[in-house]
Amino acid sequence: MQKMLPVLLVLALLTPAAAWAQQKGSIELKSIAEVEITETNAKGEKEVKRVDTAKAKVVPGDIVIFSTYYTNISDKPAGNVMITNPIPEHMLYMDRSAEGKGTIIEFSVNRGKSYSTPDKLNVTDASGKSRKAVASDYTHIKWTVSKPVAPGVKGDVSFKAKLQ
Amino acid sequence: MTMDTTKKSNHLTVWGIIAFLICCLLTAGNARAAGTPAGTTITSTVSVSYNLGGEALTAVVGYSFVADQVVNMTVTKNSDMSAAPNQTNVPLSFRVTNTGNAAQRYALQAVSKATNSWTMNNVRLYRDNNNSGSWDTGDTLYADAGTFGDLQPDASIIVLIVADTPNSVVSGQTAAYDLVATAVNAGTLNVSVQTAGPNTAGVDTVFVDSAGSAAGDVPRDGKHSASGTYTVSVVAPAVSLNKTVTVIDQWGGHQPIPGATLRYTITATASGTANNVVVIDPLPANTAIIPNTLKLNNATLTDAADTDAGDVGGTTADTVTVKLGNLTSASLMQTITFDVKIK
Repeated sequence: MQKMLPVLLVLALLTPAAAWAQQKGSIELKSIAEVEITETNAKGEKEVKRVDTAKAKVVPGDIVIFSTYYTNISDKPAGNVMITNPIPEHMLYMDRSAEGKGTIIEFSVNRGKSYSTPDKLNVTDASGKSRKAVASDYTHIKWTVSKPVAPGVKGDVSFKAKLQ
Repeated sequence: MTMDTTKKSNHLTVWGIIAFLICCLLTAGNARAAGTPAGTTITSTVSVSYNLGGEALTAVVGYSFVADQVVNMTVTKNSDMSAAPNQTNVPLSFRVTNTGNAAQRYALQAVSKATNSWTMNNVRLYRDNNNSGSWDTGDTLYADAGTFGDLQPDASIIVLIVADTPNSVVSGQTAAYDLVATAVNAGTLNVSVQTAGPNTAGVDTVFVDSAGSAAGDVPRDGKHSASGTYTVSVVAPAVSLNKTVTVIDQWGGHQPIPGATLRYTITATASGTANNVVVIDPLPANTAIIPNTLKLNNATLTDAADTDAGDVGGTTADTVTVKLGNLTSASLMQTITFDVKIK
C-alpha cells in the first residue's frame, strides 16, 4: 500500500484540477520543501542558503523546511482559516520549529483527531503510563490564523523536520 | 524528484475524505539506524479550511521529494591477534556494516601499513561464516566484491584477515594491517560513484562515510577502513646444544689412545629470544687443551680471558667458556670447536 501512495496522491489531487483551478472565491495555497545548505562565499564567509528539494540531494539526517504560503485571492475576508499538515512519513519533527506569524500553533499526537499546545499534550506508552509528549510524538501540526484574512492578504507557515 | 500538486476545492466532503485517507496512509515510518531507504518518496500534504461568506471551504496542496541514496559504511576492528613464529592461518577480525540507506556490496583489501618492518605471509580475506572470530574451514574466501553478495542497510558481516607468520620474527614485534572496504553498487562489480552536479530526478548517490585508518582514506570517499595488529607472541626462550667428538690418533686412525686428539664441535641454536647465552664445557678428565684451537664460527679465539668471546681456563679452570650473546630464532647456528689431547 505504501508504494501506491504517490500514485494515489497524484490521481487524487490532479484529476479534478481543470474544473477547480481557476475557481474564484478561495484561498490559494503553495507548498514547498527546502533544505538549508551552507556554502562558503567568495569572501570566505559561510552563508546558509535555502534550496528547493527539487534542486538538492536529500539524505537521511538532513533537515527539511516545509513551508506553506496562503493568499486570499477572493474579494471577501476568510474567517476561521486553519492549516493542517501531517508530519510526512519518514520525517521527524524538530522541536519548536513550527512558525506562523499571527497563528496559534497546535499539535496532534493522535493522527489529527485532536490538537493541543505542547504543554497539554500527553501520550500513553506501551505499559499504559501517561507521559508528556515530545516532538517525536507529534503526528500533525495545525495553524489557526487568529484574525480573518482580508482579500489579497498573504501569509505563510512552516516547520522543520529531519529525514530519518 | 519532485511533484508540486496544487488543487482547490469547495467540496468539503470529497476533499475531507481524501485528506483523511492520506493522513491514514501516512503512518509512522520504521525507525532504522541507516535511515529512510533510498528512493522513498516523502510527501507533505497541507490542507486549509476556512469560511468565506458563510460557506465552509477547503483546499489541499501536496509536495513530494525523493530520499537520495547515502553510501556509508563502517569498518571496525574486533580484535588484534598474537601470532607465534611459523603459525598458519592467524586471523584479525573486523566488522563491516552497511550504514547507508540502500543495499551495497564492498570491495575488500588487506593493506600492510607502510610502517611495518615485516609482513605476514599468504595474506587472505575470509567472511567469518559462523562468527567465531577465528578462521574455520567453513569460512568463505574472498575473491571479489561479488563473493559475499549484497549487504542490506544496517546489516553487517565479520571479515577476517587470515595470514601466516614468518619464521624469522622476534617476540613483541608487530605488524599492522588495514582492512579497507570500498562501496560497490549492489548486484555489480562497479565501484559506487557519487552523482555529480545538481540534484537529478532519479535517486542520487551521496557519500557520507568518515575517514578511516588507512593512508588516504578521507571522509566522503566511498571507503572506510580500520586497522588490526599482529604481535609476535613471547615464546619461552630455549637454546639447543649439540656436541660431537671426532678422534684423530697420531697414527692417522681414530683410536682414543694416549696422545690422540679429540676434536669437539658444539652447535647452539635458539627459539624465542635468549639473551646473554654462555656455553660452559669442562674439559674431560685426563685431557689437556691444545693451545689456540678454540674457534667460534671458524674464527680463532685466544685461550686467555680477554675481549674476545671465549677462553680456556681463564674464567673457570680446565673449562671452555664461550659467550654467544643474544640469540633469537632468526640467528644463525653458532658453532664452537676446540681440540684436546688425551694424556
